[in-house]
Amino acid sequence: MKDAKESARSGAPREPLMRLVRRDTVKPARAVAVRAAAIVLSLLVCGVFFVTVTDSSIIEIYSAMISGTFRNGITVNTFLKEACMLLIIAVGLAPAFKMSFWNVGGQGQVLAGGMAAAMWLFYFGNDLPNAVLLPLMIVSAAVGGGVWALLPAIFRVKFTTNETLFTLMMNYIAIQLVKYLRITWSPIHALGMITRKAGSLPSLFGNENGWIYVIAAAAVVLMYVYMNKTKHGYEISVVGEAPNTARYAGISEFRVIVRTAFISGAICGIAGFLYVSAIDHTISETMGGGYGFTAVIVAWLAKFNPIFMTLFSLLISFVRSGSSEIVSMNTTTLDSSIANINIGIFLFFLLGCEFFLNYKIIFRGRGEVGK
Amino acid sequence: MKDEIAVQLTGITKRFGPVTANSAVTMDVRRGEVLALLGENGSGKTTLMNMLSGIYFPDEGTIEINGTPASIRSPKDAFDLGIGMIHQHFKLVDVFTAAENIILGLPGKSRLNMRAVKEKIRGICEKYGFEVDPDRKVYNMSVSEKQTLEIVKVLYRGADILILDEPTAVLTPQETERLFGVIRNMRADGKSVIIITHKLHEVMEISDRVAILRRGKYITTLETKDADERSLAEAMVGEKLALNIDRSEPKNTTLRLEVKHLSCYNAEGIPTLSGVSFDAYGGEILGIAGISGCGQKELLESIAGLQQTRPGSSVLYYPDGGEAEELIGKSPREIRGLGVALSFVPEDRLGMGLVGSMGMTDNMMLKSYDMGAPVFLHKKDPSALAGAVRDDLGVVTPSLSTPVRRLSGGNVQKVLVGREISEAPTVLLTAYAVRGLDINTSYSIYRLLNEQKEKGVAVIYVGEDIDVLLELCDRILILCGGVVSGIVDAKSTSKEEIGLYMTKVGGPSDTDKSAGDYTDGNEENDGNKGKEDGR
Repeated sequence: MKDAKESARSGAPREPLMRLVRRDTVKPARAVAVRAAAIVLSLLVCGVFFVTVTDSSIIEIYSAMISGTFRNGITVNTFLKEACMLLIIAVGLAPAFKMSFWNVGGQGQVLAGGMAAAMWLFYFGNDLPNAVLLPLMIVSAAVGGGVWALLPAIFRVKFTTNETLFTLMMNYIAIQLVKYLRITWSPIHALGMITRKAGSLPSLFGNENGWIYVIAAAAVVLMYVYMNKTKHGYEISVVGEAPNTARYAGISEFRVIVRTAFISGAICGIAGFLYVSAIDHTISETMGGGYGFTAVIVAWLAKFNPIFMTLFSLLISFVRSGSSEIVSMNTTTLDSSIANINIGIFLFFLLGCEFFLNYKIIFRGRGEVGK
Repeated sequence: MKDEIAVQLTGITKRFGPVTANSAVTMDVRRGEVLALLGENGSGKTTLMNMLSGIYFPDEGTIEINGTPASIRSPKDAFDLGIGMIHQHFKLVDVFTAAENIILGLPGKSRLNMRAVKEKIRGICEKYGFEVDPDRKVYNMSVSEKQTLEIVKVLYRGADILILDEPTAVLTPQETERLFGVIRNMRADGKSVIIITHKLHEVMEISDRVAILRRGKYITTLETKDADERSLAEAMVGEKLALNIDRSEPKNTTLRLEVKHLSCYNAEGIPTLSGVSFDAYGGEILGIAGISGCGQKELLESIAGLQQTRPGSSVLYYPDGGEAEELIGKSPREIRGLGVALSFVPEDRLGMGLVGSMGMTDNMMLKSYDMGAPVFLHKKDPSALAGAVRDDLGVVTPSLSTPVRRLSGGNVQKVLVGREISEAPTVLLTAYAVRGLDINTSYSIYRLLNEQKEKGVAVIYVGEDIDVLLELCDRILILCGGVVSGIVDAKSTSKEEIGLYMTKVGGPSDTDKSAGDYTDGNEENDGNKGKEDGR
């Protein structure tokens, strides 16, 4: 009480130096401008970072990043392939997140799908024609990934376990399983019983990644329709946003959560199939390179809108390929993990800018200017 | 002393994005007076008081406390200036005792002298007439006790200016009377009390002056003794009002629902309803009264198929000219599928009944989305319905796809009630249909319910405001701790009688010593309450 009286006596009352006001709505133009500013800033900081760790000038850095991505068909293909894989996983996670089911088990679901696909490859790769083998691989990969997400979902609904921890733990189980299977399966592999062609996706439009692009595009479109135009999508929104309302409307939480978690995991499982069939032609625990987690951020940033997810995936893939190019120019001083630092910088700015979209900062002496 | 200005607000403006919650409000509060702050929902009463208690900072304008300009940047600043606010939603730690909650956040020596703290609490209680047990845990307290604790907490911190945000919304008439007694004691002690409310009769009873806000603007301050309910209501709404409910005589009543021995346990195995039996008739409004949390929600949910009931419970539904159907054991969807049209306006309109992020159209199809061809949604009918509800009930919304979360409370409620009534039910269950609605909207809801009654619908109306229950309903069932303590004829009963039934099973006949029994009667449901809150 004393303090207040003293300060009141000593002079005029002081407004706080700055305060935060929550924005009610954000105009689309502003949202785009703030995000664009964040992207530009993040690229600037990436550039400055590279200037400090290499001998190159900032212009050389940027031109290297661009040429590393767009120099020729091979680099463009790698860039697009990485973007598509990230995108497929993000699209897979989106419905679960929309349902407030925090699926951070993308990595595990990718691996589970990969294992299921690789099983066919290793045991039947030389006996079955690709026309039979590939569908079997796809379906079992989807089931494998789906089951990996199904377990946490069932436990969440039946025993109210925390699905974040559960899906996270399922990642480690999948990683250890893959390590074990690699040892078990390695004799088969080492004997060269698998020809490179067996179980590989054929090229499409003369592009070996063609199918990846088609599957990614299909996933985006189908997920958009599924989330916005179907009864299932409606149920997901209701259960995610207002579980009590769902109960009251007679929507079965169990059915919706279990079904959606399965779909979510199944799409990640298909990503695992693509790694085995079209990219790695084998299975390893590092498959997917942490995209299971990066995809969480992609899905969140895009507010589960598949179109925005596409955009963010492309941007992240660009930062990755650009960083790799600079690493390859400075192999003596730099390590490939630099790319992760840059993706970190990029995500920091993109996530940080959400703050400026949701809040307004008002400095002392400047009243809020209303409309 | 009496006319000294304790709080002077000058030109206070507060905006939230495009919404102006308060616009150039200039008003004062005198020392030693009870000022009622009156206004419809969304008129900016709470926002204005939040600026006084440090939750918000005004965009424009100045605040003077006891004649000195003040800058209230945080609730701590407010406390330092002697301002304390009792919010609608109590800010208490459930697992702490009363005394622990009171000293929470206060500076002090490293060694805590609980005995001195309790001594001081008892002193405050004696001075103003509170009943607080410093050692009682909050989760064991009834709503009224929690509120008392909040007030004591504020007084303990030396508040001279108390703000109470709709304090009577959760109280029985008897508890309200007691609260008013305490407020009068505080006034006599020279404290300023600001009470936010929209109950006119309470304004008349307790306040010295009334300040009226309308749509964020300050209208006027009246001496209570010069005002009456009608003039206050008109100042508040800004137009002439017809404040009466036309209650028609029930005609052609037919038995619709027969509830027998209905019992429920909550998740902790504590009974929430025990042996509830009653009949509901088409063409009649059956009111349900009771302190909040006495089983009203469970009762309606049991009928709607949303509650697990105990064996032996029975809810028979009598369709037109058909066999009686047992509703217990059927899912909410089955109950609808059988042609039993039960409508339910949930207690918490957003949390249960609407999806905040969806627009009106999407909310309209909540119960019907599953009909029609499979897989894809069909938005044509819901969209037409949303348009009709908007036009019929006068819902103010920028568009049918604007998230309902962004609408004001009254409009959200209209969306919900509109959807429920649109189903043309034969039994309409409503809980707190006018909770938080302004006078005008409330009366249009009453009219809607009366229309339904005249159409032969059996309306079950769970209400908070006993005056309204008395005017609107034909019969009133009173729940007390999950037990039916009485069913009375609304035309011949009195507010006091209902108040006594609310606190004691068996009612007025054996409650001459009502004060003592009151506490005992309450004890039973206290246990439930704490547990429920803890969930």
